[in-house]
Amino acid sequence: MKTLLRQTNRGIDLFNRLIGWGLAGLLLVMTVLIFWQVFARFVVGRPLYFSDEIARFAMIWLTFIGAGYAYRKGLMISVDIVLEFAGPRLARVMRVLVVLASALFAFILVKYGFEMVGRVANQTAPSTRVSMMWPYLAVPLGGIVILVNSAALLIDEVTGHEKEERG
Amino acid sequence: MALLLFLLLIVLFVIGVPIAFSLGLASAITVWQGELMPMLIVAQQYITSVNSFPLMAIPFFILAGYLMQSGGISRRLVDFSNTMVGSMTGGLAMVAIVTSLFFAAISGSGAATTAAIGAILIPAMIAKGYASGYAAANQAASGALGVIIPPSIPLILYGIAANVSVGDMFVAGILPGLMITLSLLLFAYGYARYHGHGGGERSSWREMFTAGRKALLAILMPVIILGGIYGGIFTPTEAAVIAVVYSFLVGFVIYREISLKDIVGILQEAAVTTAVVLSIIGAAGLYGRILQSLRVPSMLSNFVIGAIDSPLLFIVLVNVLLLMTGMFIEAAAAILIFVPILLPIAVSFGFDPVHFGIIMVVNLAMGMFTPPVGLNLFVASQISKVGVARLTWSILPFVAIVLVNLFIISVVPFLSTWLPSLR
Repeated sequence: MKTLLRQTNRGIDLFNRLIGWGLAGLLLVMTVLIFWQVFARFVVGRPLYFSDEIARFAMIWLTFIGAGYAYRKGLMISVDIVLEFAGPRLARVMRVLVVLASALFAFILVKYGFEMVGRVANQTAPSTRVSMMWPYLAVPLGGIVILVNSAALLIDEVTGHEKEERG
Repeated sequence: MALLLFLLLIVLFVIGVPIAFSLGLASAITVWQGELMPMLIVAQQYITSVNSFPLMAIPFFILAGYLMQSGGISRRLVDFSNTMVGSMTGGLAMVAIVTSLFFAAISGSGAATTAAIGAILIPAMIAKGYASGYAAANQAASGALGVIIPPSIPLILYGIAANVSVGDMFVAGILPGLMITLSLLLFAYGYARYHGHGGGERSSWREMFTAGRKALLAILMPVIILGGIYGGIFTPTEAAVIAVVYSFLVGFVIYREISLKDIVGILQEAAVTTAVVLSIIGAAGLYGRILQSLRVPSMLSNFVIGAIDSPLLFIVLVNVLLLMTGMFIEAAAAILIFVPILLPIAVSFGFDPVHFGIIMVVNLAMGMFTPPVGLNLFVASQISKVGVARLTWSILPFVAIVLVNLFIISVVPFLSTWLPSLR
């Protein structure tokens, strides 16, 4: 049983590594687009019409996908003063509660996120004319990343496997 | 309903649920319970709060900060300020303050400053015989207060939330920032005098010149960024992306301390930090929206205006409130939640929105180095290996210094409003 769980977590680690690459890529895209925008305006003298919008959509994706990633790495900011003073058993209960609360929130993001995606699918973004489905898709997918990583954190609790190194 | 919204948040915080998730979950449950709006609002408002061009300055300033850290810019800044103030009594502590001020003025982020400068100077100060708690506290405080000097992430956020020009906020931060820096330097001097920490060797003009030349590219950066924003040439977001490209070119082409292999790691770190900050901002936007739909801001403001008749008493109470919140909540979340509530009341008491913003940001900056939740405190504690509990004692004098400054900034609006009025 434990080996199976450990293997699951190894799979999830791989999943996160891919997400890590994706996050770096999104930030790179934002940087290139906005720098291009500045360049086009000052040097070429012809402003871009699409850069702002696509960069904003990339930032939305970065936020939602990145939150789930940071959550797995223990980098999300939280008030952990009580956790620090709690005994080992209480701390364990609290850690599980944190995972459950986070998973509940993630579930809400997935459920209503997908509903929202369906709602806006035939609206188009003002300047690029892409479907508004694209930025909104980040919400449910971000929720899924949080759900997957909640499972990983629970498995950590069961197998007693130490948390993955920070960073 | 408002009570439910508030209590849920407290409970989630206490359990240790990440702040971003706590804000989101408390909002979602309240909407669902009270049937205030369709649940779709959760997804929609989240996107709306993050989908903003001015907000994009934040990821870029964060990325620029990481690039400067790995590109050798922070070390050159330390060397340069060392030749300038290093020889004075308490010189090394002053180097930490001056460099942090400068670095925060480029990277816009207090935690990044504490990490970058603290990694160099906290060990150096301890090696020179400074108490490790003092070294860490000095660094945590200077890094946090550096964000009052523009560009700064909290100032950008306030500008967005209060619908005030970000450029005005930036200019407004200059004088209060200098005043705070001066008082930190005075304290460093007094402390070193009392504990007998002399300065290093005096540097010759020649050494100062050489270090200055090496740091020139770093010093030029805020000039380009701030000059561009104040001159109305670019928006803060565009200035931030120029900071990214500039620090990349300096670190990669000129100093050659960044290799292409490092880039992925740097991008990844900056992206994750961005997600941590922006997910709080998105959730805070949602929470604020629910508060508004429950009419909490207007109820509160009617109550406050009825109960208090002096602007002075009002601003003192606001400061106490923010201080207590700032101890627990991230500055970003606190700004987005409290601006819609407090600003209208402040305006009706005759406060200028820019002035009020500076008061808020100085106050919340203090929260970044006070326990129990203070990002800078955590970073400084990690570097110095001094536990957060013990650091708390060393932090106290800095809290006192900022409180005095905060009082002066609160009652002398001139400090904040004079420079923006010249634009």
